[in-house]
Amino acid sequence: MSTTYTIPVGPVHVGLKEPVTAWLELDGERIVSARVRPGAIHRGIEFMARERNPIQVIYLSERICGICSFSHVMCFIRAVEDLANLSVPVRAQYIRTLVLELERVHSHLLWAGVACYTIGFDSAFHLGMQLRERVMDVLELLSGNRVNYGVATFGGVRWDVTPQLDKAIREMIRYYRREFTPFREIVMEDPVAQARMRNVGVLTREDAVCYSATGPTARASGLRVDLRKSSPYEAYADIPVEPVVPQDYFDAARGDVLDRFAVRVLEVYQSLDILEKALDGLPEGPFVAEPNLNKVLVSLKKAEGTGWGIIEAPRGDDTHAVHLKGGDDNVFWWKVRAPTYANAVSWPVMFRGNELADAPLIINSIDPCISCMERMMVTGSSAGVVTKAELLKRCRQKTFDLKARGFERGVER
Amino acid sequence: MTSIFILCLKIFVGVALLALVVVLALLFDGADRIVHARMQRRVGPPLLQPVYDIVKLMGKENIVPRRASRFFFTLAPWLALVVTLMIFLYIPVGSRAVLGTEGDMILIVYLLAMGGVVMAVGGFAGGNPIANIGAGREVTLMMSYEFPLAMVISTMAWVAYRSGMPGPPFSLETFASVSVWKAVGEVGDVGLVCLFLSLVFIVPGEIGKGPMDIPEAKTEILDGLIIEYSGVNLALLKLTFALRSFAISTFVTSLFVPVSLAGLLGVGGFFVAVFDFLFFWVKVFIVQMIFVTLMRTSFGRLKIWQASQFYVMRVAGLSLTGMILLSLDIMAR
Amino acid sequence: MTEKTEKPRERRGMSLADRLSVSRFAKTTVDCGVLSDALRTRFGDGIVSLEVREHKGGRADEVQSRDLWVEVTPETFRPFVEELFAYDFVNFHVISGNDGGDDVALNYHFSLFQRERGGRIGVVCTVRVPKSDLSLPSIFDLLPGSEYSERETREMFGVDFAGLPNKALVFLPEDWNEEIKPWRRDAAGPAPELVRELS
Repeated sequence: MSTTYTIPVGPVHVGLKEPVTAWLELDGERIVSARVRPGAIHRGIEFMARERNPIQVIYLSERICGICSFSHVMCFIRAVEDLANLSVPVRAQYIRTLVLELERVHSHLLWAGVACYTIGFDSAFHLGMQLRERVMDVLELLSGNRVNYGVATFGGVRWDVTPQLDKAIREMIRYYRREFTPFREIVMEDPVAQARMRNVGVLTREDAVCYSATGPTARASGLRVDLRKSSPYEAYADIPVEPVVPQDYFDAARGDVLDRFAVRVLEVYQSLDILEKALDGLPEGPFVAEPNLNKVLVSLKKAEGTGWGIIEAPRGDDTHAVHLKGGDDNVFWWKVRAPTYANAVSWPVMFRGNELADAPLIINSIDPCISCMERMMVTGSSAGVVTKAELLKRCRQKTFDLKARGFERGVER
Repeated sequence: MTSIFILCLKIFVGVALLALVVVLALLFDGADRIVHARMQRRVGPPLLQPVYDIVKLMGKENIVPRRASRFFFTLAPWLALVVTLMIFLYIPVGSRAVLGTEGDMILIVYLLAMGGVVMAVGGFAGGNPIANIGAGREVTLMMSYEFPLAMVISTMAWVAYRSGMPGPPFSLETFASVSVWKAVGEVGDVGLVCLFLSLVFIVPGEIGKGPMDIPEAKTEILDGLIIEYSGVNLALLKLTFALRSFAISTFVTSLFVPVSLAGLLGVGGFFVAVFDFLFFWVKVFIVQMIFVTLMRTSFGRLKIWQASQFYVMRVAGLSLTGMILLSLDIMAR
Repeated sequence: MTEKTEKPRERRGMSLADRLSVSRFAKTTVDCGVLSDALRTRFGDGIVSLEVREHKGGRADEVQSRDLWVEVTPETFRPFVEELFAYDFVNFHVISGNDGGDDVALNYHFSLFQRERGGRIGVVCTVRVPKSDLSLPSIFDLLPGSEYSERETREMFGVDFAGLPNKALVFLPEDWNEEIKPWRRDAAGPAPELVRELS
């Protein structure tokens, strides 16, 4: 006799970094069927935007997610630029590309670490987190923030690439080329990690097509899909990008979790190459079309129409649609579709035939969007309790140190 | 008169030893966490963190779920702790065990298994489906590693019996006093290495850590077995986990690492007991670092069927190889 | 062109697997102008308006990709989506929308031709659904990936999708009063006292 029982994974679960519930019907350890119920963290951000002007919404969109914040900002800005026909200086396009790729590196590293944590491989998790610190420091050097950079604005960017930043990024590229390969080998050649990720959460090529999977999730199933290639935006017009698919590197694309891991890891190398090309090709010139925000607001007040912004975020394609009404200060309506929204539809397919032990890994394997802004400093073994004011002071001090005394010191503390 | 005196002495020594063992187990657990953290390039908690945890939990409310079977749910942690503590009475610290003549290796293995069973019963009694899964996994895991473990122990006893090591073959004191490595030839040594390696893989399953922390897998089933426990009950379980790691380390040490510091230094008389007593804990510490800390740092977590398959196929095969090699060695005499 | 008009009827009887045998990324990328002409010829008055938008970028400031903004009548909507399948397996992004007073305007965001560099055509298909009859045929059977978007549009705007198997709430809480449609701007929308002003 076989009886099934139902177990919820989430909304709050150690293995998940965002609140989502998967109701799993189990037969022993085997998953018979799965029902996913999001909505625990719906904040009505699109509704909030109706009472804010476009420049305020830039910073609102940045707070959709802590990890791919710049992707959302870029998507929103491109949607508004699309409807208002704003042009962007070439230098700004290159700087946007730089930050997009830096964000991809940090997002993929974070994901690789979390995937290791989910299978109980804590050592690799800590190694991944440590590797990620370097790109976080570069982003802090650029903008003063580790997440939510506040870099982009309509018609350009707000921060220029200084020679110091140029040097820091090049050092970072060298660092990753040296340090990242051991991490990849530790995880991908580990027998236990292979046993846990191979043939788990399989999304076939056909299912990936049907369910409109995007980004690394689709590419791991063997689809050559990458918006940086199929509709080159910003500096990708000058920098050719080929989609990373497992069949080019291994014998075949299986569409399992290990393939998703491999695709993300290989994309880190690709991002490093893109970063190098973007730095080499960085053109001179202004980095913003119109620095006076009031003038921008006035011109946007006159604009009328719907715009569509779509870019390749680290997790897949990010879509924003915006409507501005002529004569109205505020955004009339705004629709955000994060990549997870598209990939989450495939969860029930991936769960089919797997085990309870795989469930958190499968949920994490599409890299669900996470608001992660933790930050901890330990100075020696007797750090004691640090108050919020003290922590803020130290954060600022670290940024000053990074900018004043150079890059190495900030990392090798 | 003498027997009463010996009984009193044994009770006194036993109580003192158990108190020491509890303190040491918690300290070793703290050291394990620090070394684990350092291997991951972290700072790690203070050495006394496990003690703080236990003290804190002792002051917390003890909640029994409404749907739980209250009797078994509350009994399980106590029984698990008592059963685990009893193991130390049969393990020779230095050269003699407190109750060395009353119990042997088979009893120790049974006590270890009983600790696991009791915790599984507690998990089932909690009425939580996640705890049920955890308990089911614990039992599955136990059924998988018990066979290779039994094979290792019976082979060792057979070696002791055939090679003429002094003392009863199943008694741990026999192995603590005479090195088993010297009792066999070169082929036998290879066989012993096989058995030793089998134990390296069995230990994580026995204590539920490292690649075999499947019954408690926190990112999958949220600490499974112990999910419903709180307060004093949880403190007892945490203590039991620390003690189980410690107990199995002392067991392996007595069986395979009977190196005597007094013997090495050539000290005689009264100092033999003192030196060996102190040195024993050093050996246990090293064994625990290798068997527990290194293993759990190096590997991720397997799935239950993978772990089961690993024990029934690979580890059983390895211990069988050891058994055959040792048999060949002894038969060839 | 006569051949093309026959195709959709054939496809309606095809199973999902049959349609997938036509690979998602059709080998032949169709130019945006050709596509818009073909669609105009095929649907005639069904297409209310059609606009091609170009995206420029890079040092040379050349056109990198094109979007097609089409508005169709509600009756044309389903045949229109089926027609797109004649060119390539459609990649679905999202449904965005707005309460326009007498109607709810839904914008379906699709992508075609992702194989070649710069070959992608983004298709935005706008449908104005009159409030007197808030329903639209579901495209769930063609594109299972549209499930969440259709459910979200249903709970936020109150548009009913004929043929959508699972009509449960997706983002709103379980105890939500389903009479209230958060994105509507009329009486069905949230009353001011339901909106909490953040500072």
